[in-house]
Amino acid sequence: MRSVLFIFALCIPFIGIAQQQKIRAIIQSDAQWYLRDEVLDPSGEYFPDERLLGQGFALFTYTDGDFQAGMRYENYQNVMLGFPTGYRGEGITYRYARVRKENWDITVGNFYEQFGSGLIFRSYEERGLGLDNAMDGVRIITKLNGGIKIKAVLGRQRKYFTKSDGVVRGADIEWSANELIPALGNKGVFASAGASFVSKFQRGFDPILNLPENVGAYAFRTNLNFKGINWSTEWAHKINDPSYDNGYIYRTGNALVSTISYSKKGLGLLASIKRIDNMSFRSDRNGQQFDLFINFLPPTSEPHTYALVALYPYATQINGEIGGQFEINYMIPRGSPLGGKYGTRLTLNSALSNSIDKSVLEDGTRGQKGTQGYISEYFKFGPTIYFRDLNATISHKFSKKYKSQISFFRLKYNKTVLNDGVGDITLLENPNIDSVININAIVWENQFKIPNGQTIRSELQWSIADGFRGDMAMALIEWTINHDWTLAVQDIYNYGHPTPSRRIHYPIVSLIHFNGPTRVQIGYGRQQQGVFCVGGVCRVVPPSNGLSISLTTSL
Amino acid sequence: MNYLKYYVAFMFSCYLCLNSCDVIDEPFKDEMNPRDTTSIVQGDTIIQTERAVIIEDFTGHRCKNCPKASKAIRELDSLFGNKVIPLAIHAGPSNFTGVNNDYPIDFTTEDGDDIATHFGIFAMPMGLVQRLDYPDSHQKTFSAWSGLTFLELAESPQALFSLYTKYDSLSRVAVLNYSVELNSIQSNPLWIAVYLKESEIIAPQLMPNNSRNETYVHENVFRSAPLGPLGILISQNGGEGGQVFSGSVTSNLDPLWNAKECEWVIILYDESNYQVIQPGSTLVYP
Repeated sequence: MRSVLFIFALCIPFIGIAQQQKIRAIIQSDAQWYLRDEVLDPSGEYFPDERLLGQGFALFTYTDGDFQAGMRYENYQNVMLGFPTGYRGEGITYRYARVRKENWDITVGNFYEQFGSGLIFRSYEERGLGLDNAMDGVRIITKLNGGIKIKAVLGRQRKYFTKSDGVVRGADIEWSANELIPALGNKGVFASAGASFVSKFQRGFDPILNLPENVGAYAFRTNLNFKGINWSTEWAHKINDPSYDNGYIYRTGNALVSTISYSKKGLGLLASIKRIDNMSFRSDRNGQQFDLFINFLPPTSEPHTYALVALYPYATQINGEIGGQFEINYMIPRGSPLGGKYGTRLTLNSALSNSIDKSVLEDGTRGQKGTQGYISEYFKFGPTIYFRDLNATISHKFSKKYKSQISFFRLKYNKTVLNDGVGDITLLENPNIDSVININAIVWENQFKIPNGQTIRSELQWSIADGFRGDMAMALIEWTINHDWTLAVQDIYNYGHPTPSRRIHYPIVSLIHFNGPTRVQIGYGRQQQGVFCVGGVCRVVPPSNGLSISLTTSL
Repeated sequence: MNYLKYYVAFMFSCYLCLNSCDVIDEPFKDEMNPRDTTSIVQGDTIIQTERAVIIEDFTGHRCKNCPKASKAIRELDSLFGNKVIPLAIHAGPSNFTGVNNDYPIDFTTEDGDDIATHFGIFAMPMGLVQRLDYPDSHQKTFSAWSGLTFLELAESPQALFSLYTKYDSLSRVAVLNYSVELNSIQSNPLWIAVYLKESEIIAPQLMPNNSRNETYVHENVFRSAPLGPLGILISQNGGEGGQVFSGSVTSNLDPLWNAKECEWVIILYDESNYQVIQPGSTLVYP
């Protein structure tokens, strides 16, 4: 009843003031009409009982000076294939009131927040995944003299249409050295440091295990920028947190992410390293998939956008991984023999990720419930290769009307871990089930400008894999008719699938229309089974065939 | 003065941090219940805090629409987790459950047949949700399970189970110790029934498109009823709120069953209408 009154109170100011342009609305609706495809899904395992599935949301935001309030209505009738089935029904899932005055910023209700890079706290939404761990509680942000900013949060996280049993509370302090010492900025130095602490409380009922009901984590970070060099580092530690993810072991967790980059005209360099050890941190120790994550462990690999390569995405291994990424961008200057009239851009990117060392305990066990789990040497690599990525791109604009880009990819993809979800300890005990796939791919992309403001973009892709999905080829042509209309046709032919009956085409036709802030997309075709990832967090996508429509608009 | 403010804030933060961490030292397990290192495995103790719902799905490996009901169960499991306790009883019309060359594994049991007969199962897939609406409209099609489950889970629990298991891997003897505490007054006779089920059984299944899936994974397959198909009477006159009933059940697992995939299922029900007051479940061999 109290929440209904709260929502009603939020709505009162909306009445009669729309003409003041203080209300904004964002509306999105997606639906798919599913067709039975006996080639794609012979047993009908994935074919839904309901032919039409749809979901959408409307977010309303009201702003009046220092005050802001908002609410989001969500509707899943019923949730589309591949999204978590916990989204069933409809209702107001997000509502808040926020006041920002002088040095204070106070929010009650729902909010999203992040401490540092998120190693111990990130509350966020990723609609493409169906991930939403919004907090419901109180957030206070204040600025103090000397460049100090403090954030404090308290609340429970969203779990579909309910909330977590566990309570999350945390605080973050960030200090900007430039505000205290302005002279640093004059010398081109920008420095900041931060520290954060987060704790969760969840009752523990297991009389066999002595479960910690209060689990805390802390993190420290620094950022330094000087003459084109930017170096940021964050280190986090979590106390014992037996959970479903780690097999109810009592080992502490830690994470380190450090990235250094350098840029000047025509040249960019980036190098990052990451080590994660037992850093699953959820407000429910029994949580699974991506439910109720308190933290976010960023990926250190390039997210690929080309379709055939994107079929092998990397998912961050929360129980342990060590790896890094290196990237160099170089623009061959204009006017040089290789640069031509417009210059030529070269990109080389390399990423690797391995399991961490997980040696047996003194009693000879490893990963057993109710123990310390394992011993790990900090910089020692484990035996399991998770992912390798080496790719290079050459991009050249030949004229005002034609540019072309060619990319080469060489990947190693651990199907057992990244696609089948098998953990590294299981692999250590059963090394024969480990399956690393080698993939080589090439993509040639061309873009032509043709008269009347039209553009044609094409992609030719070819990938060769020594197992799993096998060899594939793809062609795409995208015709931008004008500012309002775009038509795209693509086909993937999985001609080298190890199973002959799976050597099929995956054609898709899509039409996109823009009208001011409104975007409508209609698509028809086959969706290949796979894993879809955003920011290293992934969900399984089932195979489907049908007509989809998507509408996004803002008012 | 400003420094004093920061000092107070810092000290308060330290206090908050220190009080927000339960660092557990060894032993991590309760010394009163040490893990036996011989063949006997002490199981987890389940102490219920919430209402749960049992769905008894009458199914058959030659019933082509039954995989749809299994799918509905999986969706409910995804939605409600262990608050939903499924039980797939292969019983009912023999043209759906019988054995032939294509479907050689016999999942039927005498106990399962007795339950199906008692509840008058004549078609499938049909299910009982908490055994509601007996005797007139207790058989529910799978499209109704979700809504009924949601409504049932919205109610407060009238009883809560504490379950504790032991399993001897040499003799394959499984033991379930239970106690159930009533949260409200019950005026009708109360019964307890205990069932064993097994999951992850790979065997042929007729699919909705009339194909035969040789590698179908059968989940929650009813195996036996150690206290009989309808269980035992524990109180002729119901009970008061706070009253506790305890007992123990022992069963020898069939050598063909995979103990690690077996689960105990227990229900407390009202004899007057067979409605389940509270179900519970726990692994045989955790």
